[in-house]
Amino acid sequence: VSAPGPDPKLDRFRRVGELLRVALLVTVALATATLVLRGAAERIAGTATVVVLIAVPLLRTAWLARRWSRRGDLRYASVATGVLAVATVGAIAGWLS
Amino acid sequence: VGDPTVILELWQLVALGAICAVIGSVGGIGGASVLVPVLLAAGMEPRAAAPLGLLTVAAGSLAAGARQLDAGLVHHRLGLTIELAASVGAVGGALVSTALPQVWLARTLAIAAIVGAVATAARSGVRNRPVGFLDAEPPGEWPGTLGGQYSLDGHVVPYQAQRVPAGMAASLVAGTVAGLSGVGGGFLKTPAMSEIMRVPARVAAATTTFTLGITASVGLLIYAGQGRVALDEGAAVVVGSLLGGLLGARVQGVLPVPVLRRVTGALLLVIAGIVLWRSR
Repeated sequence: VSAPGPDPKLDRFRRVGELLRVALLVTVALATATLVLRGAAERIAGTATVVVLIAVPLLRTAWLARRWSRRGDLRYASVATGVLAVATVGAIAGWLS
Repeated sequence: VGDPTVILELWQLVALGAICAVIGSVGGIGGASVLVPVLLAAGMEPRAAAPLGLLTVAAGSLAAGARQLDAGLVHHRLGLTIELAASVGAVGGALVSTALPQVWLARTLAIAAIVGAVATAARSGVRNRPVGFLDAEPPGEWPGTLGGQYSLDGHVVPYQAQRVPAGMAASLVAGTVAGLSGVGGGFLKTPAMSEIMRVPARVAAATTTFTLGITASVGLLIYAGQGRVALDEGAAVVVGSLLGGLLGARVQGVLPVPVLRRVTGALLLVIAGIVLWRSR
């Protein structure tokens, strides 16, 4: 196996890790609030929980697509964009079904 | 907001979500692969169980994400490459699932799980070995390639994904099965990545956990559009899954690879048995 070397901007993943930890704490708080609260507040917290869980992986994919595109790694930027396109088509098909 | 015909109390769903998330994280198969069959066995309707399963998958993926990133175990390029095929399969499977008999879907899921178990258990030993000269390098993926390096017993071990088209084909099947049955599909993706693409088991499990979050997002978007996401029950399994996912990620980084492989294989057989029993 020939090794071209580790990712020179590996530190950026640390920021992603920090954001994931924040998203995790927010999700825990929102989900717990959904179980504790009642009425409109419960619905808002529950909806926000689902929105965060849906958004985080897609935003991470979009960030990777942008990052790879900027660094000239067009093959994998295209792959990431393709995943987002499939997700969009699937969502539209689901909402229309 | 859907009506899940829930037969479990919320605290029971919290506990069940936690247990399934630990199992799913350790094996890299996703908590829903365990949770959905258990919910069906408990009498919940499949239409109600599937969104709860995907919420478990999404929560487990989020809980394990930061730790797996820190450890350099996630290969994003590899994950998104196979996720492209899996997502296409998942969308297609979900769209045709309403036209197929439920018993066919269940037996397809069981057969796929058995195939995954056999593939996982068939290999013994560690395939990728330390090479010495990389020991000073941090673990991570190599830019522009499907190769990388990860830490094993204090050494850095290089790896390179092989047979990518075959791996993507297997991932397409995994995605289709996931779309048909409503589970994440990690129980197929992890063995496919490990056994077909020759990626180390820990990297395969962590990368699969990353991709399962995307699969769950796509599925949840569809279920939300259909009004099938129950917020109370969903929050209960999310709380449980986040707690279980955190614990599972810690266990995943500590367990020896052969143990990880055996546990995953045994889980797949248990899942297949439950599903076959349900489809009698």
